[in-house]
Amino acid sequence: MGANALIEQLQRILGPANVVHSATDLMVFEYDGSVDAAIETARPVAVVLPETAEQVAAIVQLASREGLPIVPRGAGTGLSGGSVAQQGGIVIATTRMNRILEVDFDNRIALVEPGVINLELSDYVVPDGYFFAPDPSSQRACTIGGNIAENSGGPHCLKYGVTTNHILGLEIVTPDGKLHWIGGRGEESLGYDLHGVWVGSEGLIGIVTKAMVRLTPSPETVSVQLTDFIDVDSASNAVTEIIAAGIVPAALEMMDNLTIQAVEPAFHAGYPMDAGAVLLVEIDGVREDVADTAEEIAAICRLAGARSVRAATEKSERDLLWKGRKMAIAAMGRLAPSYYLHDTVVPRTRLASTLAQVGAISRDFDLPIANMFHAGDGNLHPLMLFDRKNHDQVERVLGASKELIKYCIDIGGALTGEHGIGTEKRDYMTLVYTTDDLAAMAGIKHAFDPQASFNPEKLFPRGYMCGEVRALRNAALAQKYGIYPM
Amino acid sequence: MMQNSNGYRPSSRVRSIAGVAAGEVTEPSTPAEVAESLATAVAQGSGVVPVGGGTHLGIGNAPARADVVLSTRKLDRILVYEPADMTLSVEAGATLQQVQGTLAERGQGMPIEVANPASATIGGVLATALYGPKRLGWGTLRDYLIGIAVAYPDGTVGKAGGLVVKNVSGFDLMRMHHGALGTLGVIVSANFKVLPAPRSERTVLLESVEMSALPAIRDACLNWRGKVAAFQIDKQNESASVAIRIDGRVRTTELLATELAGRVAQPSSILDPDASRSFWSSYVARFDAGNDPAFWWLRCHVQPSQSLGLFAQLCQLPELASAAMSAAPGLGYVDIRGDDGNADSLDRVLRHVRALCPRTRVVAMPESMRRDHDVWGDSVDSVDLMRQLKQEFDPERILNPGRFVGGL
Repeated sequence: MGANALIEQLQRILGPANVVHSATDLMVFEYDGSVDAAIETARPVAVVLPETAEQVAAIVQLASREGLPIVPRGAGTGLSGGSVAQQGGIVIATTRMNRILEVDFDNRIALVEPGVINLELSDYVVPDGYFFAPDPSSQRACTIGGNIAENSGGPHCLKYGVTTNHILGLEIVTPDGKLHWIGGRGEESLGYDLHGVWVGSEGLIGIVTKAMVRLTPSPETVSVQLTDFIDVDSASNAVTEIIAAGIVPAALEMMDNLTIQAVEPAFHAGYPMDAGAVLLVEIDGVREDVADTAEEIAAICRLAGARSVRAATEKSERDLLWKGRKMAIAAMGRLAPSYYLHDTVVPRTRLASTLAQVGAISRDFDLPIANMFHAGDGNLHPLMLFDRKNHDQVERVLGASKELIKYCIDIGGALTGEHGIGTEKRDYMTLVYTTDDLAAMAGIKHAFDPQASFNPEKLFPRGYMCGEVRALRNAALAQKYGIYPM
Repeated sequence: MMQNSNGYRPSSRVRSIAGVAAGEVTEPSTPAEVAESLATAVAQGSGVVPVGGGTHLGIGNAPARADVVLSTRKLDRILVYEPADMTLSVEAGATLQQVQGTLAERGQGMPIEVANPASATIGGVLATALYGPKRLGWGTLRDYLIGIAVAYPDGTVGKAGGLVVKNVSGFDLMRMHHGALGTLGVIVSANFKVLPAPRSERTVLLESVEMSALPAIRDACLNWRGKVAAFQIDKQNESASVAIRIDGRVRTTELLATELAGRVAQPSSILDPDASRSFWSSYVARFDAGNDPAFWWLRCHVQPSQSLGLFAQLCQLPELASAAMSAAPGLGYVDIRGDDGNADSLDRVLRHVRALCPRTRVVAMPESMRRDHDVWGDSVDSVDLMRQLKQEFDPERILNPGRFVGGL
């Protein structure tokens, strides 16, 4: 089928207003939130904006008949290239499937469409004393469907868990164009934990059309403490000591001096400009508990060398302290035209040594690197500042990135804590996983998408063909054991 | 029953699985050996039944074949424990007691409870997705699982996840194997994030509560500023007993327990931390088949808001007059159990219960009845997708064939 015939068919399913196909309109869909030094951009044949699950199924059936790739997309805020159409084909953007269908406070659940914006759901239920716990920094823009695809985290997942801990069931369209319900609708489901497999599958095995999510009761009291240290070492030690004391704060964030330099002049959150690092510690729960825990944390921080401890319980004060953290990335524009945001995770006790290594890499590659991150769970976000028009700087960023990722893996860390693999980190997968590990992951892909039509060229290393790998491996085993007739 | 985790030999006890005679026992001592025995089973067309502590062999349907019993008994090492990082890597055959004991030495733990922790293994708890009342406040092992290594029928061992507390590198095979009853591969080791042990706890106990008072008590417990770790209601003759567990800091648990006792507006007693702990471990121990061949246990899943209504209906069933019954109103299930399982009466019970709650699974029932009943019931969604997974990971159907949902 030619492109024109395809567009016509798509328009028949969706109406002309929901099919984007002109070259200029498509340009905005060539990207996601990733830095373009780290991923390649690509243009789909068409972007469709369905309004119902049935339309999604019809599009997938059409693509499947025509052998066209499908790339699911939410708000396009992803940071690993996950929603870029590497092989062209059709992008299904869920942004017009944005209704909150049901809210059931008795069972603490909500049924939502995938295009609902993360923060909109929380805003909707906050008056009744609930919130949706996953809170990625992009929560003002990102969709719940995207959160599900990437298994997104956020500052508060230290206490409340990541997206997968808050998804109870999903309606999905599988690559063969069929609609399914997987998981529960408030009650527990039996059988394989399919919704657990779907969360974090980066759009490789189908597309979500509805989600049953858990609503979390809002705590009675919230307190945020800002503590400042002369260097990142003592701040890191304070993190270790807080965790070792058996305290699980709601959030435990660190920002280094370079970050403070960008943030404080922009947002006036009250971070001391001369601090080597600040910690934002949020605790929540019943008021007596919060008071006792706050006191204990303040004592630990002072012992670890904190110069000052400032506590905020009023919402406006707390919001101001958080504003600096939440807007930190935006503030980086004050320091450089481009940035590359990393997402590695290291064991919590290795924070100090990893930050020292980040400093060394910054010097070796002559690149400013700012640190603002989820210290409580060891999830680092080193942010490399550069100018993407400067080819030499781009090369240095890529070199420094490789060095950083390798170091984190060597000390037992992970490639990504909450941003996903996508295209950005696919070639690093072999640093962490063996051929056999990847083959097991390929099993999931092959089980649900044997034609490999969903989100091609993501997650697996370049050139890796899931079906082929499984077949080759089975052939080798057939020889070894005399089984699996080919 | 022997309870020593070193001397205990679960696999040697296994003579049959749900009434199907079990064949030879193999006890591999490395992950590679597990994979090798699976590949051999494929070559020979044998059915393999993976066994941990053998404490919950009652879960699942009768297997089509049980030629090989694969025991994880020799895979019992704690591989990595980093108290400061609060991460743990442990082989599948380590017992829950062994793991909790190691963690407790450093004031940490995993908030997971099963009957018979001295025998139940980590691999078994993962494969069966078992949990206790504390799930209300703390979740299940699913929520703490950060990495896994699994032996597959193709003779390989595949890992996923890692040993850090947050990780989205690649597909989530951890959750695929959690609750899969070893039908997609045999878990050989698993990594967890662990938690600080609660500094203190209290339990508020209510006896002889009128059934009609239960909804108000539920609201008092669940819609409240305090967080409840566990909340169970048990049938007690014509009335009910209620147990509410609160854990956390010393001062908080004390004052919240007192406050809650006031809120429920019923005569109550408050258990101190030691009494509270022992109350809950004996509570969980009631769900142990032990050596009782007539033990049976049904779990009925509904939405949390429906669970008290279902509990009240079940309490009225004459067939269940002598059965023990517990509701978890915050979680949405009712457990029914007894030790008088005979074919006729249990048949009737199951029919009646499933008429009220289609999503009722049999967790345990006498072996003699197993071949005639689908313990999972027929209210499972998307079995066809599950079949696709099974076909991919175990195409020759050697792993627990026929024991899982939909004949998988």
